[in-house]
Amino acid sequence: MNGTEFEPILAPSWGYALLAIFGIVWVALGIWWGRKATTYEGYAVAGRNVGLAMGAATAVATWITSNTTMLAPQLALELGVLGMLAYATASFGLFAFAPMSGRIRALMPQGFTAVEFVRRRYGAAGYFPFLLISIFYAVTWLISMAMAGGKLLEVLSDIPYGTGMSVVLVVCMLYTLFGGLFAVIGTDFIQSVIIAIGLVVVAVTILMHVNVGGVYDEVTTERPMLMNMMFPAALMALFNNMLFGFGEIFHSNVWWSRAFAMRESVGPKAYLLGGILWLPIPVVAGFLGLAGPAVGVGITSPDTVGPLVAAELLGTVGALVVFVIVFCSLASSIDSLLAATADLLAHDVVLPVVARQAQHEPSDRTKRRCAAGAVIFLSVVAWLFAIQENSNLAQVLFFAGPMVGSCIWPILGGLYFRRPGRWAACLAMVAGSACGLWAYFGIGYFVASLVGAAVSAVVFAAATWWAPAEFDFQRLQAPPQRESLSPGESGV
Amino acid sequence: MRRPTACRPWLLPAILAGLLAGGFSASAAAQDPPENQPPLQFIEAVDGEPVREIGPVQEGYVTLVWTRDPQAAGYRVLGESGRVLYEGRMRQTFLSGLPDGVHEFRVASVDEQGEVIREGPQPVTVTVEHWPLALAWTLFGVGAVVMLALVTVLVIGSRDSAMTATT
Repeated sequence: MNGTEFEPILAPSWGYALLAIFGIVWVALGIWWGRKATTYEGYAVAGRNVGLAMGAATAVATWITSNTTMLAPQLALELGVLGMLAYATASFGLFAFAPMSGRIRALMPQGFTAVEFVRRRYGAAGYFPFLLISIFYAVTWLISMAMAGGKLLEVLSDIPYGTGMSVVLVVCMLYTLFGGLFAVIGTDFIQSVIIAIGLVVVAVTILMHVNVGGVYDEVTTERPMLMNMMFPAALMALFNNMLFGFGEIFHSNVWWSRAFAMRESVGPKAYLLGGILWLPIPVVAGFLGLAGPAVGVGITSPDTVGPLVAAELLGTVGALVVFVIVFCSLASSIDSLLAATADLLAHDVVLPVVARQAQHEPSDRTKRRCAAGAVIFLSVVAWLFAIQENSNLAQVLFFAGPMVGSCIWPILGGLYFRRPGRWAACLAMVAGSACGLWAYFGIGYFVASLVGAAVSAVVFAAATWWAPAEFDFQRLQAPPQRESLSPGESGV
Repeated sequence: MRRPTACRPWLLPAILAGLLAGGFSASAAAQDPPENQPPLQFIEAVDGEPVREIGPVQEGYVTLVWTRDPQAAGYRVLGESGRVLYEGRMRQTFLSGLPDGVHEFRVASVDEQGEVIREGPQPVTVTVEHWPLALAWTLFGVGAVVMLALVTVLVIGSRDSAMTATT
C-alpha cells in the first residue's frame, strides 16, 4: 500500500469546480424548462404529455439514486452475492408498476397524486394512514439523499460535509422550483445518459483492471460468508428488499406523478424499459463492493465503498467520472422527491384547506404558489435534519420499509378490484406497519418490509372478505374535488 | 364527513414532526470520544465508550472505531493472522463476511511512509453467531409466497381490466 490512502481521491478544487459547473447548468436548465410550466398542470404533471424516451429515462434516472451507487455496493459488502442480487430485484418493482401505470392513467385521466387516489378510493380511513406513510417516507428519503450527497462529496474530494450537502440541496431546490416536473424529467434525461455512459466506462475499466478470479479468492479468504449462498441474513433479505422496492414504487407519488405525466399507453412501455435498463446497474455497483477488499481500498463505511473503489481503480479521471455520476444520481432523486412530495403536500393537504376557507376551487396561480412553497418548505426541513450530520439518520429511512410494504395490497387491490373497502385498506396499513416495525427492532431491518407486507396481505384479504365493498371505478374519471372523504361518491 | 387535516391543519405537521423526531431520537448520534482516552483505544461507535468485546453479531459484519493518535498520518487494522484488513486516514473500518466464531483485531498508527508508530493497548474481540438457517429459510419461504400472491393478483387484475376495456 502507498500513502495515497491518506489523501482525498479528488482534489478539492476539482470538486468545487464541478459543483459550480453542474449547479449553474442545472439551474439554468430549470429556468429554461420552466417556461413550459405555465399552468399548475404543466408544473405538477408536465402537461400529461411525456413521451417514451423521456418517460423511460426519468424512470431509470429516478430509480438510480445515491442508493444505487452507495447501497448496492453496501449490500454486497454486508450480505455478499445474495445481497447484491437482492438489490437488483428492485427492478421488479418497475416491471410490476408498468401495467399499473396504464391502469392509473386510464382510471384517473385528471388525477395528480397517489394520495388523491387513496382518498377517493377509500375515504378518510385509507387517506389518513396513507398520507402519513407517504410523507414520512418521502421526507426521510429526502434527508437520506441530502446526507448521502454531503458524505460522498466529503469522501471523494474533502469538500466539507455541510457545504457539499447544502449546495446539492439548494441546486436541486432551485431548478425544481423554477421548472416543476418539466425540469425534473428533462434533467433526468440528461442525467440518465451521463450515468449510463459513466457506468459503462467504470464497468469496462473494472474488468480491465480487476481479476474477477482474484476478487473471488480474496473475498473467500478474508470475508468467506459473502460468497456463501447459505448466508442466513442474506436469505432473509432477498424477498425483503424485493418487497421494499415494490412498496416504494407502488405507494410513492414520485412514480404516480410520472404515470399521470406520461401520454396514454406510454407508461407501461416506459416503466418496462426503465426496469430493463436499470437491472444491470446494481450488479455493476455491487461488484464494486465485493472488489473493495480485493483491490486494497480501506473501507471505513460500507456506503462509500462503491465510489471509493471506482475512483481507486480509475485514477483522477475516474474520480471525476465517479463524482459526476454521484452528483447526477443524487440530483435525479432529490428533484423527483421534491417535486412529487411538494405536489402531494399542496394538492392533498394545503389546497383542500384553502378551498374550504375560500369556498371555491383555488386559482391556478394559487396552486402553483402552494406547490412552490412546498418545495421550499421540504428543502428547508431536509436541510435542518441533514446539517446535523448524524451518521445514523439514514437508518431512519429503513423504518419506512415496513410502512411502504404495508401499502402494497391496498394499492394493488384498490386499483383492480371493487370489493376491497376502506377498512381493509386502513387495517392492512396499520397492522402491516406495526408488525413490520416490531420485526425491524426485534430481528433486523432486513426482514421488516417482508413482515409488513405479509401481515398487510393477510389483514387486507381477511378484511375484504369480512366487510366487502362495491366500488364504482367510473367515479374516479371525474376531475378531483375536495369536499368529501367518503369513498364511492361521484368525484367527492 | 369530518376531514381531520382540513379541520385541523396543524394536526398533520404535528404528527409528522413527532414521527420524525421519534425516529431520529431512536438513532443516537456517534459522539466524539471522551477526552483523556488513550490513543488507539477501541471504542463504541454510538457513545465513544471503550470496548474490548463486541457481539454476538448475527450478520457477520461490524464497524470498528478507535481513538485518535495525534502523531499518526494513518492507521492500520490487522486480523488474527497479522493480515492487514484496513489502512487509511480515518479512525474506523468496516469488516464483513465473518463466519461464526470469535475474531480478534488490533489497530496501529503509522507515519507518512507507512511505518508503525504505535500499537493499540488492547485488541478487540468480535463474536459472530449467525441467524439460524431454519429462521432464514422460513422467512425466505414466506417471502416467496407473498411475492407469488402479488404476481398472481397483478396478473389477474391486469387481465380482467383489459377484458373490461375491450368489451
